Parts: sequence; structure tokens; C-alpha cells
Amino acid sequence: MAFIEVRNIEKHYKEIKAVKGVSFDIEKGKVIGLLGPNGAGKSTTISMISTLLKPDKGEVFFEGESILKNPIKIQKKLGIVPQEIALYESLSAYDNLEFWGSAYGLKKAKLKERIKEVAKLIGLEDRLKKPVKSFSGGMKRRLNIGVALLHEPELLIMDEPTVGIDPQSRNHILDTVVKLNEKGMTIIYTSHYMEEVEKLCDKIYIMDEGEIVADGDIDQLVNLVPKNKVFKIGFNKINDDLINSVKNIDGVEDVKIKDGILIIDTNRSEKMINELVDIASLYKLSIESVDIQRVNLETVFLHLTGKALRDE
Amino acid sequence: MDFLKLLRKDFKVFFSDPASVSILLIMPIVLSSILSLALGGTFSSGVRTSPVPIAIVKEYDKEVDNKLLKESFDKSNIGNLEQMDQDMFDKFDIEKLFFDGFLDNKDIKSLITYEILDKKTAYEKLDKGKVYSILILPENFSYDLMTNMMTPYRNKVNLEFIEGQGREIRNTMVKSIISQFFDEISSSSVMKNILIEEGIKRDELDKVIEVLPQFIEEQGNQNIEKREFIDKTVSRKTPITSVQYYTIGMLAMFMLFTAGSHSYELLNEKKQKTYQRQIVAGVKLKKILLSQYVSAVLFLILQQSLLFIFSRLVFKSDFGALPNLITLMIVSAAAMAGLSLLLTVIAFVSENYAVSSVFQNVLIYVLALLGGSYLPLEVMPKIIQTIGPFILNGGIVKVFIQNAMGVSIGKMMPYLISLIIQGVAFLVAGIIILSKKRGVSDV
Repeated sequence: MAFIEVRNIEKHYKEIKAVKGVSFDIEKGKVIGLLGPNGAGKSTTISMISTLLKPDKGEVFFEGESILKNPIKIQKKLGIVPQEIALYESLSAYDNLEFWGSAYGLKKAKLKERIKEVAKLIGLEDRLKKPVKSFSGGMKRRLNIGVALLHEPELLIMDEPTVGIDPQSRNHILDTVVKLNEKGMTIIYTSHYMEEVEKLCDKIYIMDEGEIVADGDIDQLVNLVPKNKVFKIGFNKINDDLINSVKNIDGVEDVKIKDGILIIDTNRSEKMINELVDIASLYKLSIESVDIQRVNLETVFLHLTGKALRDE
Repeated sequence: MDFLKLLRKDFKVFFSDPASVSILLIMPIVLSSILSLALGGTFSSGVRTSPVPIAIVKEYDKEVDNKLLKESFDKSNIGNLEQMDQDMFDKFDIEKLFFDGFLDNKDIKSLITYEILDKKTAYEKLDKGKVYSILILPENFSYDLMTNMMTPYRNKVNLEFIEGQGREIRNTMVKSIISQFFDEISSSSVMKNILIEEGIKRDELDKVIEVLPQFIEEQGNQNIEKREFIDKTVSRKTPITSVQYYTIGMLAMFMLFTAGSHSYELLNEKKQKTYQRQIVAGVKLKKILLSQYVSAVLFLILQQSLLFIFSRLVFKSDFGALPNLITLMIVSAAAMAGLSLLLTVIAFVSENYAVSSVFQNVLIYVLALLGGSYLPLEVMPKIIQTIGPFILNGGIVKVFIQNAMGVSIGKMMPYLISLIIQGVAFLVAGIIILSKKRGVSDV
């Protein structure tokens, strides 16, 4: 029996089908990544797992028991870190931790003890009396996580916990996730930063348009894509003659245009760049940028969906 | 989750916004003080600190009038009125009744001060604004009124009331108070004539004449009775000061603002995702709503208490019996919090602030007008006078004013019941909207 079993869950918002029959299992003590662009259905999926949304169809089982029939069981063992800073910004960090600790049923000495421990873990011991609104984005994110850890949950759901913060705070958060997992906590981590998912997750589910399009560990996912390279070439102008000529290069398997950049999927080596220069000369075009990429999760995602993970 | 922790959080969050708190707690104090001082003149007892000065011109001579009266009695053929001795004359001395019994009465003196002047000086003072009006008691004033009171005859008395410019409202009050006195005299005279006519009809005039002195004495005593006059001033109730009125009026209006302000809180929480976080932590929506309701009640009571205490300490205002006042504060806060909860639910299920915003920016001002927060309902059109006390804030104004006037809880029960019904109706409407619009567990 898996720690969490998600069985064919669906969710509609009026005409829009946000999640279309998603199923997966989560083993205890693992870090699971949900990877996908905005609107892929990640947040809706975790909202259903966390009892916030009721699935239109399907079931979620926590330790073998339906969370629809008994939501309290998972609620007691679940910590959730929403994508938004879900804190009372006008209150102090201490007041927030105290309130949320109480919400999770902690009382008196235990509550004080946990506030102290969590404040140390998130590196905010010296700022507890300050109002949250005076915090930097990174500090707020850390407190947002701290609130979810007060009751020592067995399952932690983190929905894009590093959005919009400085590298130092991001590293602190990623290190915290690693530490928590080392202590045995099961974590569901959603992100559209592939490097975070690559670093943290034992298993990754790639979502797009409400569906899981692939799953596995990093190696399994990378193997889904032929050992190709991706050339991203910026020309001063792209026309049909150029595209057709590039497609005719030996070893080129696919050519796409994104944001004025020609994206070429090929099994050729870096030397293919010489042929691209020749084609540019032929059509009196100039090459303005060159980026040659190895296969990674971004490439996998691009390969599977034809989309980039995030708009940059 | 411990309900008190939830409540404490709601209170802390509400108090953490200094702008809202100052608007809801400080503004009613400031506005009620300004309005009380600025519009004090429109209230009968607003003159407690500045009674209306008037001049009285006596064009009659009391000695002459008394002499005339005695001569009339001597020539009278209505019967033997000699039973009315000098003591009786003194008891029913109209001048004594008017000046000593009425105008010098402590309560009337807080409304009107007078000085007896000759006509020329009175006009000069009126022109200079030193008196607001002149009351001219005409020639034979005493004789005519005594005749009306003590004989079957009825002489016409033409009082003249000359008003200074720009003092219309306060002069209207003075006229009304003075008219009340003469209406009493007039009705006593009519009663006496009916008694005599009845005696003639039944051929028992002798018996009537026997009891007439006692009847006249009773009428005189009644007129001297202080409360009779005070209770029959403009509003026919114990007057309240402008400070009392505007403290209550502004309180009712700012209670509406508190209800409106509170209605934003739950949707704010939903938008900031703290609501969802509470739900995932296992906190039930009904507990969250109960906390919203109770925090609104407590804030409203705090708002009321601060305003009443300020008015009491600074203006020495009396808002009536304390146990009753506390009861009214709780009932009105509970009813207003019901409205707040309904607005909260509407904002929450519709996921926008439109209704709360319209309430805050438009509806409150209309309700404040209809409820008598700006001006007493007595000066409003009849329709508003009728419906005003039965809208939420109007009912609140009504019961607090009645309490300040010494009216018992029993007598204000229709308004109290109306407040309770409205409070419950708002709560029920909120629950119905919530259950209809919200899915079983979705948030």
C-alpha cells in the first residue's frame, strides 16, 4: 500500500477541464516532483490531495483511507506551503507561527517549543517580533514554509515555494527540503524550475494540460528523448527558405520556431553549426545567437509537449 | 482549533490596520463632537449651555387688571363667587403662574431666559441680536386670562411674538414651549365652561358654583406642576441634548461602517490564501464565520463604549440607566454584526467586494439619513418618520435615545424586537446564501 494513492482524479472549472484523470502513487519518505508550466494542473492536483478541493471524479487515499470520507486524517499529518504568501502580513512572525500552530492543534509549552525550533530551522530566530510586512520576499517564503512545519507533518506539499526570491533564500529553502526529507518526511514539490526538481526529487511527474504526460526519475525521463542536441539559433530574419534548408540538413529531426529563435533537434555534433552558417550566407542572413543544449528536463518537456516549462 | 485563538487573531488583524481603526473609533468621536456643537441650536435642550434669550414686554398693569376683575365679579350675575377669597386669587394668579411657575422653572430656564423690558428697549435689543425674540403680553392680559379661567366668559387674548432674523429654528422652539403653557390655560378654561354649562343644563348651577373654586385651584396646581410643562415641550418627551443626539446618531452610522469594513475580511483571507490554509489545517468554515461574527460584535461594543465614555467624560452626557444601556449595546451590536456577516458571505461567495463597496460608499449615507443620524426624524417627512425607526440603524438611534430620555425597556420593546428580528434575518440570509452558492467542500 502506497502512502498516498491518487486514482483517476478530475476537476472542472465550468467549461475548463483543469485535471483530466490523473493517477499516481507516492511512497513514504520520498520527494515527488510535479513539473509543468503554469496552467498544467499542478496546483489543482495538490489542492485535491490536500482536501482543499473535492475531485469531480476519482479518489485519493491516504494510508489506505479515502480522504473524501475522512479528510481529518490527512489534515492532521499534512503541512502545506502554498504558492502565495499565505500569512497575516500585518502580524509579527511570532503571532503568525503561534496562530498557525494553534490551528494545527498545538498548545502552550509544545507550541512555544515548536515555534523556537521552526524559527531556527528557517533562520528567522532574530526576526520573530517583526511584522511580516517588513520582511524581504525570501524571508516571507521561509516563514511560509515554517508555518507548515510547526506540527511536524508526515507529508509536506510545497507549491512553487521559491517563486520570486533571491538565490540565497532559494538555496536555504532547497537545503531545508533536503534536511526534512532526510528526517523521513514525504514531500510533494511542484515547480517549473527544472534544476530544483532535478536536485530534490526521487520521482517526477510531468504535467501538461491537466494530464501526466510522463513520469520517472531523472534518468528515466531523459531516456525518453533520443540522445540528441538542441541548437537554438537566432537569425536576423527567419523565412520559409531558411526553414526548409535547415530541415534538409542531414541529421536534423525537427525544426520549430519560438520567440524568433530557430530550435533545431538533431543527432549531429556541434560541427553542424558550419552548415547553418553556409545556409545563412546563401540567403544573406546573419546569425545573431547560438545556444547548443544537452538533454535535460527542459528538453524532455519540450520534446513531450512542444512547450517550454516557463515563459522567460 | 481553540476558538479564542481564532478570535484573537481576527481582532489583531483588524487592529493592525491603523487607518481603519482610527476611522471607526476616532471619527465618530470627532464627528459627533463637531455636529453637537455646530447644530446644538436645533435641539430643545441644545440650549442647556446657551438658552434662548427673549424679551417680554408687559403692556398690562396687574393692579388695574385685578381691580377690574373684582369689579366684574361684583357685577356678575352668575352666582356667588365671593367664596373665592384673596388666597384663591393668589393661587390662581396668572402672572405668578406664567413667570414664577413656568418661565422660572429650572428646566425651562435651561431652554429660555427672559428679561422684562419696555417695548423700545426690547426692539433695540432684538435689532442688536441680544434677544432672539420678543413676547408682548397685551393690555388686560391678566384680566382676560383670569376672566377666562374664573368666569363663564371668554375674552380673546392676543399674544404677539416678534422674531429676530436668522433665529427661526430656536424661535420656533420658544414659541412652541410658550404656546404649550397657554394651551393648558385655554383647555382648563374650556373644561370649566363645560362644567358650568352642564350645571345649567341639569339645573344644578349652585352645586357647580360650590365646586368651582376647588376645580380652579386644581387646574392652577396642575399648571404649576413642573413635569407637565417639561413633558409637553416640542417633542412631548424629556428633552435630550444635541451632544446626546449626535453621539447616538454618529454611533449608529459608524456601526454601519464597522459592519461594512468587517465584511471585507473573509474575502481578503480567501484572496491571501490564509482562509484555504485554515481549511486545510482542519479549521471549519462555520468556526471561521463565528469568529468573524463575534469579533464584529466585540468591536461594535468597543466602538459604542468608547463613544459613550468620551461623551460622558467630556460633555457630561447621560445615556440613561446603565443596565439598560448595556443591554441595548449588546442587542444592537449583535444585530449589526448580523448585517456584517451577511455582507461577508455575499463578498465571499461572489468573490468580489462590489456589494460591500456599494454598501460602504453609498448605502450607509442613505441609511444614516433615513435612520436619523444627521437630523432628528421629527423634522423629516412623515414616511421617513414612520420607517426610520424600523431600519437597523434607525432602530439603534431610537432605542438609545429613548434610553437617554428615561424610557423603560418595556416601552422600547417594538424597536428592540425589530432589531433582533433584523439581526436574525441577516444571519439566516447569510447562511442560506452560503449553503446555496458554495459546493459541499470546495473553497
